Amino acid sequence: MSRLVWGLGALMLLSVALGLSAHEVRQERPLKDVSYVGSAACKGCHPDHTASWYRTFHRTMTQVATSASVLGNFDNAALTFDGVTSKFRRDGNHFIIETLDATGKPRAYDIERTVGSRRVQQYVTREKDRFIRLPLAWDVAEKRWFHLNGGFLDPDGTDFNQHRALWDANCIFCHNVKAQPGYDWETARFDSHVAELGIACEACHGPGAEHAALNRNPLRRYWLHATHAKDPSIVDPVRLAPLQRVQVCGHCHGQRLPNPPERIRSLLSMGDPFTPGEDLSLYTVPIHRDSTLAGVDLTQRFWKDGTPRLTAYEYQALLMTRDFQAGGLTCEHCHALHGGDPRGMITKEMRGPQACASCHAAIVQNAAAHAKHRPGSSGTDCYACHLPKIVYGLMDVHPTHRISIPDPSRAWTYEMPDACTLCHLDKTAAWAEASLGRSARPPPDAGFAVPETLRALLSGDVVQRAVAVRALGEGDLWTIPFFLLAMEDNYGAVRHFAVRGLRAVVERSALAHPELAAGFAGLPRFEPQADASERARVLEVYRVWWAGTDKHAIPRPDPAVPLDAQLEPVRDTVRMLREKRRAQPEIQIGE
Amino acid sequence: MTRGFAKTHARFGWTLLFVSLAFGAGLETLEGFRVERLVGDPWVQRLWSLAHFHGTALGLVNLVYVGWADAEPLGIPARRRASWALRLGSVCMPLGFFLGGLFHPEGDPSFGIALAPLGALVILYGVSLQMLAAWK
Repeated sequence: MSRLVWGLGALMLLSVALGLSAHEVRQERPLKDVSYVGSAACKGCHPDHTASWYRTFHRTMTQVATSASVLGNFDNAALTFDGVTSKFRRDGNHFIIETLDATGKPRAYDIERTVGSRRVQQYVTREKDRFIRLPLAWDVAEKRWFHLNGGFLDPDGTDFNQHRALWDANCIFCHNVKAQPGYDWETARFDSHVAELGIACEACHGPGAEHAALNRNPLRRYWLHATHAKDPSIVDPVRLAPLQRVQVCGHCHGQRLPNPPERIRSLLSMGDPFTPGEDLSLYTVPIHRDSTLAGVDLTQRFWKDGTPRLTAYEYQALLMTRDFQAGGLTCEHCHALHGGDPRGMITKEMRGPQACASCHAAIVQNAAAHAKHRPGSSGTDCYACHLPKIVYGLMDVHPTHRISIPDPSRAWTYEMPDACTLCHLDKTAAWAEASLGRSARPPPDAGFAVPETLRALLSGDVVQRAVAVRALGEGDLWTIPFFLLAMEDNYGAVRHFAVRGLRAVVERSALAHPELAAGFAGLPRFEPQADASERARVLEVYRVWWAGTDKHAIPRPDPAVPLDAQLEPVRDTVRMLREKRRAQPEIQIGE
Repeated sequence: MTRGFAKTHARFGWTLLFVSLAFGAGLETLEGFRVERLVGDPWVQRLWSLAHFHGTALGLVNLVYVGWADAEPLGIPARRRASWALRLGSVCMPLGFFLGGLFHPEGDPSFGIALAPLGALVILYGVSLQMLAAWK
């Protein structure tokens, strides 16, 4: 009898405890005022998620400068840009950059933090109360120093310190967890703090102090394990409504303005008010083509149809996509924050048609018929046609996140690149339009008789040119003379793509054309940011090499390509297109 | 009847020792061949090692208990309870650790782990009976 009483008592106690846990996890908890604890506190209970996050470039977005985090060459390296020689050296555990200060005088800066680690690494020093991002950066892929005027879209002659930036008022917001610049408007001083350097767990999951404390209770944990119920003490982005879900990413991957504009004061003093799971529009509005900001021409950041043409506008692009508007497509459908390749945060299968199959199974199964391309060819790749690479950022051109149907007429309607002609490099937009069985025709402009990518390269604005020259890098040997033309461009970014694309084209054809490749290998290095006379000297060597190359075995492109029998550009056509370009104002697109 | 306890614990102890040592040998093999299921999951590694350790140790305790199983001054009903508790706990604890490592959620053992503290309590109960008897 007594055993039965003991047993029933124990069972009753357990039931009460479980009931209390169940009741507690059903209560919604506002997370706004909860403290942040840092990723170290998550590791004990979430080792797999911590490990998968640890591999990402999110984690290394902002780091303290140490020999483990610094990627740049500080072994007494030097970079001369715009007549200024900057030096990079180590002094024990200190990383030093000698360059110009804000007043234009030489100064040695002790580097305190790094920003970025995948494509570009930037360096941050400290001056009194503030952190300063210096305008010199390390190109991770090419292993070279470069000036940020060539990373952003600045024409030659832009001020050396154009991209010397205040970290506490800019980078801090998106490259860390819960930024608090701590700006004192009375004394004009910063006292910046972040919950954690880099993009760590709480950037997406919200503050974790309460979650960590509550889940010390094993009954609570096991109740959640058993029921798979939502834990209100933390944000699980995949359990949010589609808009809130994409806003977790859009908070950083969508350039925005304070809403209302006066909020900038509290943003700089009190910090970023957004907590994942909230409605981002309570605090900010995403920048669109028609947004206004004093002193900045925001229209240049978008194609004329409103599609973003710079990175960090992926949120806006997705919002413009019908798959989001009608189908609730969210970032996590394709991207894996805790899996796949950290470059792009995407799994192997989601890099291909599988990404679209869950909603468009019939089309994916019949991709060749749908796309009217050979089965297995790049023309049957959903990404190539529906997410073409038309977005500039971080020394590369990326797929747009506005999923759309190819429309070559955008060339004349919006001065915008299109999927068809970014692949069919030697074809005109009119050809592509007709191939799709569409009736629109270009205006009577001789430029549109030229293949669209070459027209954009020679007459487009800097983003058109960057996108075009990057696309040419996927082309055949006939593209070489156009790279040589692009190497004359007055934007370092375009010259960078030109020399990179030229190298890629030659290397790809090295087996079929070994003599051409051998000749190319003997050429001096073309440095996109060298001074104009040095660039001209090296470029002349390249021209002589191309003129002297035996071209009889090089396959000819479509006759629409303005090349003569020697595969040299037709001068009149080039002049005509460049004059159109000269009629446009130079544009400058920074951060 | 009283001799039955010693025999039961001898059989039980040797069997538990054999099973636990065999399981330990299996673990070493998995470690040796770097089998991902084991070495790639620290929870499985830890819980199954605990299962192996507790099974072996409790097998030895049962064999040691053979000398006390039929001894005075514990009365027969109390001895029956102590014997039952020791055997039940000796099964529950290692089994709990083993099951805890199977299909566990991230950061926690699976529900089977509940057997481990339950087994510990039952063993404590049996041991306390013997301890009180020893002090008489």
